Amino acid sequence: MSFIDDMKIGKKLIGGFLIMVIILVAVAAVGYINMGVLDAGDTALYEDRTVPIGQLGNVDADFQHIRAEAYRYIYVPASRETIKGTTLPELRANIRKNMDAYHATDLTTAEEKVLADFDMNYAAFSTQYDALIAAADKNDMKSVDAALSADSPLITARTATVKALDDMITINIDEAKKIADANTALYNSSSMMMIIATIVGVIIAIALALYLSRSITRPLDQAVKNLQEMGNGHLGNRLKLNRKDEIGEMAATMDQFSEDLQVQVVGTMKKIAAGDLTANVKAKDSQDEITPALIQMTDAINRLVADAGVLSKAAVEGKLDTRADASKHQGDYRKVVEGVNAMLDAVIGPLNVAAEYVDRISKGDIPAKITDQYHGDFNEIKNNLNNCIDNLNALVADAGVLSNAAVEGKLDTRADASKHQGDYRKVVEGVNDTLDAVIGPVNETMKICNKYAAGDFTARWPSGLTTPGDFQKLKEALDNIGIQVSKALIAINQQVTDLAAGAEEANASVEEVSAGAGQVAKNSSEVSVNAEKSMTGIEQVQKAMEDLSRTIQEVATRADGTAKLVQDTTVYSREGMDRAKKTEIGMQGITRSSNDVNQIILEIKGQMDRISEIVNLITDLANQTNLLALNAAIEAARAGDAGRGFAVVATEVKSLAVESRASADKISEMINSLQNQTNNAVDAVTAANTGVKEGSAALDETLASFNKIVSAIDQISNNVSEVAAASEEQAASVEEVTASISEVNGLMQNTVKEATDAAAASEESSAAIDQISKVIGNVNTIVDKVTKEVSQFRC
Amino acid sequence: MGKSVRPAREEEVSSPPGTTPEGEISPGRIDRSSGGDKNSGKELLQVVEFLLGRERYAVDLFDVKEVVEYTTITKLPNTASYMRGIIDLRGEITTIIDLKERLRIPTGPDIDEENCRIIVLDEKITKAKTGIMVDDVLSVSTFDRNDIDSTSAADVDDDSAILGIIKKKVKEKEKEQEKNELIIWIDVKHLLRDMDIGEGMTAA
Repeated sequence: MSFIDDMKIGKKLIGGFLIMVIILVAVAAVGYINMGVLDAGDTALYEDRTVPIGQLGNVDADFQHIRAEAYRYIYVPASRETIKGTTLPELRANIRKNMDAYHATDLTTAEEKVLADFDMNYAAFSTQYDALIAAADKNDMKSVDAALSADSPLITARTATVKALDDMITINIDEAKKIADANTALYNSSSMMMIIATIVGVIIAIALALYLSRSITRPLDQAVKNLQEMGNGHLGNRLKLNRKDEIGEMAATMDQFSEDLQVQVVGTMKKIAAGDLTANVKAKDSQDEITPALIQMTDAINRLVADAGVLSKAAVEGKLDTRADASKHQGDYRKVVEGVNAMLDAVIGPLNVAAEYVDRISKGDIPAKITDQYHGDFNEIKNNLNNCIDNLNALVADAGVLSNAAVEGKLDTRADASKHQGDYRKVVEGVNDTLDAVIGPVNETMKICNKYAAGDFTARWPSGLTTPGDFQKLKEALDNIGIQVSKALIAINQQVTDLAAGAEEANASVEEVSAGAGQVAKNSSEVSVNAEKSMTGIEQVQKAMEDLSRTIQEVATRADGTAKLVQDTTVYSREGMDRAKKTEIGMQGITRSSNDVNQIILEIKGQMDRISEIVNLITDLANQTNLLALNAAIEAARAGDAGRGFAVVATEVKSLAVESRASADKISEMINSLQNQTNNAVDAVTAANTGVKEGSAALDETLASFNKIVSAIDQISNNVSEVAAASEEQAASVEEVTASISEVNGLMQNTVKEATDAAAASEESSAAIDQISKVIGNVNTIVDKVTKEVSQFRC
Repeated sequence: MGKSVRPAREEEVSSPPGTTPEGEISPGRIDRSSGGDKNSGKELLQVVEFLLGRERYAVDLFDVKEVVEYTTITKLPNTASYMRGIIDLRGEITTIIDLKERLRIPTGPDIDEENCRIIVLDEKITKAKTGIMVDDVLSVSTFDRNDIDSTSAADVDDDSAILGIIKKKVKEKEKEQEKNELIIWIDVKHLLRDMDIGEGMTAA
């Protein structure tokens, strides 16, 4: 039956209705033809049998009337004129008229034979009757008695005529019975035909309706299930319906769509997720939205990866001023690039300032305080550098004061050591101690020198005066200037050695600085690695977002297409229902026609009833006549001889009454059988009506089938709504996006931590710089000492 | 319709005799019967035949005044069960006796009272005007005394008032052969004698 599957749905439905209409017409035609045959039978029954029976009844009645008139003629002389002149000719004319009419009807051979008998006997009777009247006219009572006695020619002819009439009526009744039986047999066969035709028609119509509705709803169910599967993201299913109607086209389109979605889009997305950005997809046409979106996504990710590679490479090489061009990216990608740029800006500014200050400090050019505003750990770096500058300035100031005072010979001058801290205080205290230690011997030396100037070269250090350390040497130098000078040179050498050790220390500190700088570089590279990770996270976010929007769009497009198909199907269903309604109107017309037939039959029945009433009346009259005849007979018997003639009349009247009642009974029997036939005809029409009603019921069922189709379409609409609901689930993907963003947040916190590490490294480097400064101070002190000692030697 | 079917069938049975005596009751015979009732040795009997249940009965013609149709009967209280009541017959109150009840003949279920006949009796034999109710009145017939068997009636109880059995020759239509039909001849006067009506008459 695949050709039915290949038919368009509209043609399918129209074909189904045509077949049903043909079945209905066939059933109606069978009923109509059979009703026509029944009608012909009824007509034959009426024209050929019922009418002749009535005519024969009239003949019978007229004949009996003639017979009765004879007695009246004989015994009531006063009435003779009327009877002879009017009554007898009228009656004979009536009999002749009715018999002629009977002759004209369709006669069987048996009827013709009996009719010939009747004609013969009636003629004989008429002759004898005329003779009887003639005898009566002559008052020849002997001839009258002879004519009226039993077995006279008149009585024989009359009996034979009555018998022939009876036979004719009997033959007509028999013939009528045969026709009625034939009608009944015909009715039975035709009602059987109607029933079989109706049953076969109903079975074919139901089977057709079931098959058609299944061939539409079953593939639609499959398509709906497939749509639900697609809504759940299961793209592996294929309908593979091998049919060419609208449903088949829809199924083929859905299969093609699933194939494209599974192979092209999802395959490409899987490749991108695996890091393979070389996906090569081509747009199907200018309106294809899926493939261009994939290409755009791939391009954006490629650009982002390229810029991230450039930035991380530059950071590893220490080129911290390298920046990516954020304007090349869009949306969150641009934010990522801009964030990395901003991070590099935030790290590089403070680092440059710190490097410049340390450079200047190491060159002895102590700069002014840093006044720029920095945040967090960079602010601590700034504060420490400022502290370093303050302390160095204080130290230099105190050193300047002391050295100036010493230069001016004011050896009493002391620096306030409490103003300094740590090693700086030690430096100042050392200077103070030096001055303390120098001033006593200098005073003594000045005294001795003054004595020397005074020429007292014998002057010597007083024995009570302690000459600790170098001052012993001074004393000895004073004692022996050459030895003192050599010893002073040894002391100078000693200081130079100290200086060399200080330089070594300075060297070590510088190495630490370089190590700190290395750590800063390492932290920077970690920062770049973290930035890469954050980019990957954001890539996933983007992918999820694209998936979401595309899937929702596709679902919406499919749902629209399905809704359009559902509308088409509804239109077809309505057309089918309209046609079924038209067929129903035709059925109503058939019902009206059969009702008309029923009406006619009922009218016939009413006329039959009227005939029965008349027959009853005749029966009643016959009974009355019978009773009158009985009483007349009783009266005549009681009257004895006087009532003799009257007794004969009474007997005749009685036999007349008996015969007319017998005729009336026969007619009533006939009417009964006719009424039975009429009832059969009514039953036949009722059966035809039932057939038509069953056809209507089949139509109603067809209408119900259409209603089912409509409700199935409603279900499809519901399923489409469910698909829409399923798209809401896609919103869950948005939560994934949120999760990815929080991951990015964590990575950014890592970056901040790394920056803190960088700050600590900077602190270490500033401590090293402190030590460098200290060493430089020591060196300066030593240089001062040497200068003083040299100047002492000049004095 | 049913009303006319039942009498029709009974009439059919009685119709052949109705036709047959047509010749018998010729004026000549009646002449002999009325004349020979007292004189001639060949006695003739004239009776009215009627139907009670399935059987045929006959009463003497001269005991009968007329036959009338059934009319509504007014029942009288505290009377014998065979006293059906009274009717108004042309201005005269007439007592009606149910002969079947009187003779204890079981009533068939299909008997319709409306189709019954009332035989009004001659006033000579009754004190008051009296009628007997029968199922149907068939005919007025004349029989030869030789056709009446009175011996068999002697054995029967006196109360039944049977005078004899009349053998009536019937020509069957189909078989064309004669057959005797038995008619029970009853004495109405005797029956009435048992009742008030008859006795009153005898007393008078």
